Amino acid sequence: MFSKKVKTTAKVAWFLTFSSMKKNKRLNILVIGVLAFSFLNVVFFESITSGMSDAINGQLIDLQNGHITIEPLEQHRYIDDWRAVRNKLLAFPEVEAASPELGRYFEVWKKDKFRPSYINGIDPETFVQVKRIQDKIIAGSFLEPNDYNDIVIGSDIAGGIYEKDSILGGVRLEADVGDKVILNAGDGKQYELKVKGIFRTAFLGLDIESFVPLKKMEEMLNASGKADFVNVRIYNKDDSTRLKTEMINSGIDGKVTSWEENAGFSRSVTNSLGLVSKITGFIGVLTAFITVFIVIYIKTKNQRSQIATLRAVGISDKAIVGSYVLEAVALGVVGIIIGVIVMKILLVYFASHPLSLPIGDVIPIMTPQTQWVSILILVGATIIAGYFPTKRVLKENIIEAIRGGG
Amino acid sequence: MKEAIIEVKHLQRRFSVGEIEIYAIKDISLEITKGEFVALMGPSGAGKSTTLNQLALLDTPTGGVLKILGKDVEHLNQKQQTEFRLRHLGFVFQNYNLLPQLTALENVMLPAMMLGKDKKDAIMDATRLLEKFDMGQRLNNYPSQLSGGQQQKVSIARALINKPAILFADEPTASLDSKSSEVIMKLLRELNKKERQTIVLVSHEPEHQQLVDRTIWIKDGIVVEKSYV
Repeated sequence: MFSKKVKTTAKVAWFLTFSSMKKNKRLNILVIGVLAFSFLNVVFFESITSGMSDAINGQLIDLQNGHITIEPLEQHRYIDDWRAVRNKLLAFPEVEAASPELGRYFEVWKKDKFRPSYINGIDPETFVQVKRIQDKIIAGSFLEPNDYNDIVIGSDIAGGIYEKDSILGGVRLEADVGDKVILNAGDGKQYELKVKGIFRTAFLGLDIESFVPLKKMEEMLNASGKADFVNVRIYNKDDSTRLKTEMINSGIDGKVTSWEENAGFSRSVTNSLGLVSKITGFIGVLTAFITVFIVIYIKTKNQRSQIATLRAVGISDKAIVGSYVLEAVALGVVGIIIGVIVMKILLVYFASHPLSLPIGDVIPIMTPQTQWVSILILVGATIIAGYFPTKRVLKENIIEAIRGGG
Repeated sequence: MKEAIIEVKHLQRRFSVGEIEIYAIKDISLEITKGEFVALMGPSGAGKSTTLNQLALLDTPTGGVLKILGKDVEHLNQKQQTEFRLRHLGFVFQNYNLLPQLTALENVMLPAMMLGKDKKDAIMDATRLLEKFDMGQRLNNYPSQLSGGQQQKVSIARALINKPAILFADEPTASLDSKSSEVIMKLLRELNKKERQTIVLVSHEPEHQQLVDRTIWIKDGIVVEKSYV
């Protein structure tokens, strides 16, 4: 595959590299350390960004929309027969669960305090199969199939001890589990409900919303059998786009959207952070490049005489350049391998100790693409950083370089 | 008639310092035949080393004709010069110029490897050569662990590893004590006598005239005398 000359050049280059690396262990360890940190600098923030994007998507699915949402068709106020829609949905083997929701804004009163809140009417039995709000209960319990005059309120409505690190303003009702609250529809009708539980998601504006049984909401809105939307959970979220098309083709009575289409917020956060991540990544690559460049530059400058001697005894320029480039790449590769190992250890650590951010628990994700692109960029940077300083020294006159010392 | 291995006609080497041009060698013409041991001698600044550097293709002349082994070499590019040096020429420096990160053996075997020899064969050849120069016990020593005389032996072995047509030596004993100098000069003499190795040497030492076949005297960049022993 390679000519004898190329093989010979490569052998000599590697021979020189190996000898040089044996002799400069301390410096090499230092450079490898810097390169390992440069790699971490490149991949870590990007993995946090990926983790945040994943966390936001997960929250959007678990707390807001499920994997697929069926909404009323245009010019329809409601899905008129949610049971029929749900039955059609459940016929798809990929669908794990489907649950209707019906809601509107009410004033929630306790004694002389009130605040407007969006009240979600949910079917407790199927809701818990689609969403994960029930896991966010911090006091009392979540709604159950036989509940009727019960309400579960968000921590930013309850206030008091349940309001922790809240970023949302507004009136707090100082309500606790067992308290009575009044829902005022604004049309003169009022409904007294008992607080069954308090939840806290710390996700977007969800903690100022409330949940009541669907039966109660149907009564309050006089909308029996109707729903604002039906949320669907599927077994594999990667099937969502295909499944959406199949649902549309099956003639589902409603507008079908997948979680990806509802992930605008996640995309906006990811894009913003992606830019920051690219900047920090660029700084990491630049650090690696400058480090290797300086090391090879100083080395070739100090070894001008040795390089000239190599040329004098007939060692080709390609073998000489190759030896310095190989050394730079070898340092880079070892640095990157250490960086990858440290990163994998960090990923294992964060998998069991996620970063607790306002958008939820974030586990950094290093995709194979991120890993390999970073590796290729860093190896490319070390090749360039090894090549140019050596090439510069090779332009010197042999005799002058030998007399120049080093 | 003896075969001319080096033919030089009106060789010049001019350096520019700002707008001033300095001639390190003005007009050198000479011939060296195969198997000769020639010394270039003359006062400091005469142009001996500059002449040697042109002959050894370590520098490029600015004028004249230079033929080595019958080939016009003055217009070879850097890559061709390196290849030519590797195959046909050996060079011994005044300060040995061994690579400090390589052992004696590695220093010697390196040019053989560059010529495409197998690592095993290169090690074998280098070992044989170093043993011949009484350096068999020092194969794995680094240059910093060797005396000046030993380093120069390694340097000569490195220059000879590819069996060059011509061995150039620029004041090879100038950095050595008199005993080591004697050893090195004896070694060079033996190489010339026993193996018919062509050697071109630059020297300051008058007694070296007795060891060589011919001395070429250079002064102010021109050949002033050619004397045979």
